[in-house]
Amino acid sequence: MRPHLGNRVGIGLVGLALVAGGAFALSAAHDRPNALMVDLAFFGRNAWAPPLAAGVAILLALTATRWFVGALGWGRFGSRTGAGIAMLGVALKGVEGIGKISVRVVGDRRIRVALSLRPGADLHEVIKRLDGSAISRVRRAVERPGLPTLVRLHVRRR
Amino acid sequence: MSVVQDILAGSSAKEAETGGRAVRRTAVLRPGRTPAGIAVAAALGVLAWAVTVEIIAAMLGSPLMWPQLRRLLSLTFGHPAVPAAAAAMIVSGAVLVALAVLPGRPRLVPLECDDPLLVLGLTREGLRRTVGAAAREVDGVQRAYVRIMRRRIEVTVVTDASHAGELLREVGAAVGDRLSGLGALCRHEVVVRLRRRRI
Repeated sequence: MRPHLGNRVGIGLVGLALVAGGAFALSAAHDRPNALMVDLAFFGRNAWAPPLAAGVAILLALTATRWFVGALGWGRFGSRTGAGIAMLGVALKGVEGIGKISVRVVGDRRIRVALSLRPGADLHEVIKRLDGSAISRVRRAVERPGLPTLVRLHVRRR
Repeated sequence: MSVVQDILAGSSAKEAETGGRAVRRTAVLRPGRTPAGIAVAAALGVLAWAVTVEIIAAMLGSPLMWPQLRRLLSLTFGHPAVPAAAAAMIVSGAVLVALAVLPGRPRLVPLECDDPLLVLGLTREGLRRTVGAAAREVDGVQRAYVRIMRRRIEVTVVTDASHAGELLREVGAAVGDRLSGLGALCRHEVVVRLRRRRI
């Protein structure tokens, strides 16, 4: 299972661009203080430049919009699966203190399982069952036998 | 290769595999920098769409030229605000690069498991409650407070028992047993503090 790196890559690139832009502005302020910060004369001289700049800007805008939608979690939460929840309930039958169970399938990327346990629950037994056969049975129940699975365990206050 | 060498090689390979898996599990549970990602993506998107609209409007012969943009175009590098703005850009850029590069504290505490396709994580609050319950099971402990820090788990027990040294050892052992029983893949040092009950 691979971690989500999209945000980190995007943030890193924007950060590097800001550092480079800031350093360039500092050096330009020292070397040529009378130069314009944005010189549009270049676009007037070269007819090919405005369409190219528009294309680059559109590409950047689309990429940023796609990143924004992805960062908001679009398509990362997946859909709830009743068969998976039922199978996990059966696999954990007999274990004390099981609270809420949630099983979500995120496309063909991963299964997300969330288990909320009561304070007196036998956490060791829960982990043993999950690692032993429970998750394999859930994978078979949702018809995705080789899908990576992320399980979030929580112990409630009461 | 002798049988002993074969066994040793096999065990070291297995250990390396287990270690690699633990690193991968921790990496999956690292924070995804979602709030920073949303903010930067939104700012970049707004800026890029605004520039796109302006360029297309200029190409069609009717530039919009918002007043702020008009003012920016007339600025030179000698403007007194340029050094401060450039320094702010460098600082904020360095912060963003640090956010991207530094791994951050995992959202969940990874737990050991044999299934290579499974990542098990326990919430920090859940671990705090589990460790607290283990400390409270020791005879003589009346209350236990647990704090989970970056590299340390601090357990403060309240007691009126007289055998403080033995109690500290017992609580430490109970907490250590619970952590190893869960298979928590964290390198937290366990510190047990004892507080006398006020009479």
